[in-house]
Amino acid sequence: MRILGVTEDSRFLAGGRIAFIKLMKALAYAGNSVTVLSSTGATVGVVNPEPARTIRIDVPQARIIGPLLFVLKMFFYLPRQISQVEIILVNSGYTVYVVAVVGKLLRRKVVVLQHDVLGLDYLQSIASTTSRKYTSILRWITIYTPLKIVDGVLCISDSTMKRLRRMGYSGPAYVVGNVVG
Amino acid sequence: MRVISVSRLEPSKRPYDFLAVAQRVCQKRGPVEFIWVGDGTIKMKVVEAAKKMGLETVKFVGKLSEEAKDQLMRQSDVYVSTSESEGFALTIGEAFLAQLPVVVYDLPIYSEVYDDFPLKAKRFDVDEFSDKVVVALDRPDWLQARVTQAKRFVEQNYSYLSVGLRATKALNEILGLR
Repeated sequence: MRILGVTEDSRFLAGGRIAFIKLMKALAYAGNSVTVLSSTGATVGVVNPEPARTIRIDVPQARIIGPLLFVLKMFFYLPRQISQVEIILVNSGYTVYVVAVVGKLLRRKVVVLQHDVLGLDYLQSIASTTSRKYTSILRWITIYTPLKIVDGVLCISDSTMKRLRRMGYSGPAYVVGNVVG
Repeated sequence: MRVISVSRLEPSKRPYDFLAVAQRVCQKRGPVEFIWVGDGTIKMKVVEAAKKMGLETVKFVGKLSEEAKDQLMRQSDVYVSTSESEGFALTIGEAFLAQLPVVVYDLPIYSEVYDDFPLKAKRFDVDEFSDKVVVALDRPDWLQARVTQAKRFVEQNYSYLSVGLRATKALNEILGLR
């Protein structure tokens, strides 16, 4: 199977992004042809995705500008990459919307890797400044609303899948776990 | 002796319970080093609380590279997590790979992901949690078989190949190939 994996990255190291890259590496180990599309960021050099192929889009390591430029540049990269694969796996995050829409336009199945399922109240409680409270709302919307249009969800645990069901997601969902080590 | 925890310093990880456990364990069996790896939004408050409690053996080392974290894990005796919520608890798997006994609160996620291998204390009962940590520190031979089995369990279920095959099967089903 030819798979395109898409994940955001930033200057902050996040466990979910490392887990995603490890999953893509795992898919390549299982005999699939895998390409990872991401931005420059903290995971570079932390996890070696080989035998998966990697494309890093160069963006500034800044809080708003970085993600914004990544999304804009993805509109140029995605069509070419998507045309070469059968299925797209996108990491839970702000890229899900863009990937889901472009994937649907190009008639490819889009699947999301879901880590923890966090309620908006929790995201608000950990936001330390007013601007972070607003970005947490935006983040919640961009992560959870596109689940209505994707073709499936891979969950890291049964608990994640149950929380997702409680949130109202009724599409195909599978527990795959995480790579440890 | 050293007890380690790797997590973000956030309220859901209950770092104040970690301090309470450190206090009780040190009272019971003398100085034991307690190390927390990871940063978070409440780091300053937790560090301040540790100072007020006079916990000189508790250290917050911040975020470490994967290599430094793994090395510190291998040089520890017990892994603990006082978290009240987890999606997978990856670091517990890493602790098992480092052949450490693990003490956690009794959350469903741990049985789901790691079977019965972690030592579980009643939810948010720091006294019972501390007792389990003392057992893990004092009776490593008694736990050796359990830790060895846990390592094997993680290697079998969460290796690159096993996760890759599960994910491939799921993607094939979504594509309608199987």
